[in-house]
Amino acid sequence: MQIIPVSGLPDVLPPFDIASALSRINDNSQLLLKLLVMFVDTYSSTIPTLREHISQGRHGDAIRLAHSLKGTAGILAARELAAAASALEQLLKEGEAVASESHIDELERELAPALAAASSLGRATPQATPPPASSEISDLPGALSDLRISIASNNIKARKIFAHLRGSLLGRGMDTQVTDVGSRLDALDFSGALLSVDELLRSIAT
Amino acid sequence: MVSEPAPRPTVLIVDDGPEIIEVLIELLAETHEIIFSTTGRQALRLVAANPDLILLDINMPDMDGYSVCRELKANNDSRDIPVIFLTSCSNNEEVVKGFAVGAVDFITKPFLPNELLARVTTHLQLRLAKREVEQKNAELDEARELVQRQKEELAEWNANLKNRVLQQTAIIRNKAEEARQVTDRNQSATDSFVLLFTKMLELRHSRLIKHARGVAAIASSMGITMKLPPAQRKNLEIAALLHDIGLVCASDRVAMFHGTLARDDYEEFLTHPAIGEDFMYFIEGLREVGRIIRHHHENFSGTGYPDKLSGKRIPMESQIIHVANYLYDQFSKETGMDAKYRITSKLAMVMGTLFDPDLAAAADRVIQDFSLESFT
Repeated sequence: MQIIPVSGLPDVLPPFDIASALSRINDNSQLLLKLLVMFVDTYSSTIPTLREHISQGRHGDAIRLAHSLKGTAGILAARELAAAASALEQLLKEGEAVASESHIDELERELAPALAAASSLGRATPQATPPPASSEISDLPGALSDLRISIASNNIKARKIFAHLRGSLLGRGMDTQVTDVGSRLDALDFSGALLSVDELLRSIAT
Repeated sequence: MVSEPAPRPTVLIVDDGPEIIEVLIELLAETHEIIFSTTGRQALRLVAANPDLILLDINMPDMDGYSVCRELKANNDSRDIPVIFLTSCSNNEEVVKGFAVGAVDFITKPFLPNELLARVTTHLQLRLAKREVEQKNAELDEARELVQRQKEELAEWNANLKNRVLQQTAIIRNKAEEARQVTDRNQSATDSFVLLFTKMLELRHSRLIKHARGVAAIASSMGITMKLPPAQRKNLEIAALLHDIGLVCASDRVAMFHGTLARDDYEEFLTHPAIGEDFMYFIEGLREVGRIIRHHHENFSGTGYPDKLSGKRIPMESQIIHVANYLYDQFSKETGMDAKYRITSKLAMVMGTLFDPDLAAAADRVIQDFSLESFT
């Protein structure tokens, strides 16, 4: 399932510095919207997860999670959030697991409004399905095989190949698998996309 | 003409954060081929695609960036791929460690698009330049090896040539030695025959051998005066010694004649030059001697025998023996104070008829040098 926000990107969305974030990604507002949605999906449960890692003694996992949040907050230009994540990461690296509790609280205070702001942009809806165009691709199994090769080698051009094929694949009774391939490629889940493409190949063969 | 577009460089992005990968795709995909990995282990498998550059995150769950880089640098197939570390914190310790495991550069997240593109482009160009240098070096090495091989082949060829020349020289030397031995044997055989024929003359009649030795002495002296080459002079001397060998088969009257012969005897006498040649014909080393003997009674005017040859068609050695024969007879007959004068005068009268005028000087020299007493 492809994910796109319902609403467009506002000029101001605290704590994110939209202008700064756009400047780091060629002013691609669609990509920033996508990154904000991914941010919500990835970090909604970050605070309980961090607490669980620390209570279970999984300091390495806690450090990596704080590190990852710091990086994403940096991309999205949420400076205070990035700083809080960085402080927690540093503290955990120094082995201050107990003292880090206050830093987790601090991080939660920065993360919550960010998640709320990003969530305010709306949830995903399936992309409108274009009309089938099966006649456009003369050798559909061959084209699917090419798509499979690109996916298997984690080559990002698989997205373009799929976009070209999508119309020809829809309306053949395999729409669920087709949509699944698109969603997984969009989420960089190429392993899952590969399984769905194999299903498509089997369906076409029969 | 439309040229093929240059292949786009391939960049492998390795980061466990999908957001980072998406941003990098946004910034690089337009001008680069992008493959990605969200884990270190998968990245090590994907280097089989031979990317031109790797953007590598340090903090990853399964295998950190340092370990991935170490493995890349330990593998011959991937050690030359430039690795740029992506890091959220650029403390000095991380940077030092990154360079120590083989990274060429660091990019701090969040990165500025221009900075990222500049660093990526720079390292791709360096990589390209390095490959070109490596290729040129490989071509140079190949050329150097070729030159070395050719040098070795040439040296081997020269060594073989030297051996071949030595072998050929040895073969030629052996052949020459064999030829020399054959010649020596032939010469030895020829000398034996000359000795045998001389003995035959001696046994047939003492006058014959005395005459033969006298004519040979005069002919030899003329040959020296005329500066004949040694081989020609040797044949002349042998032919002069054996010029009457044909008479050993003649009757006593003919063999020992002195003065005039009856008609039948004279006709028998006329055969002795040809018989003499027959004796020599079967001995290879004396065949030329036989030819000289055959014509030692030919006259310069063409009135001699057996073939009535004339002028320069008569072998010179035969003409010398003819003259020597004449002089020997004159030396045996003429005595007194003016004997040499008379002989010279008589000789002058027959020059151009019996003898080749070109021999006159040598003949005169003999007349002057020889002592007539030894011939009487």
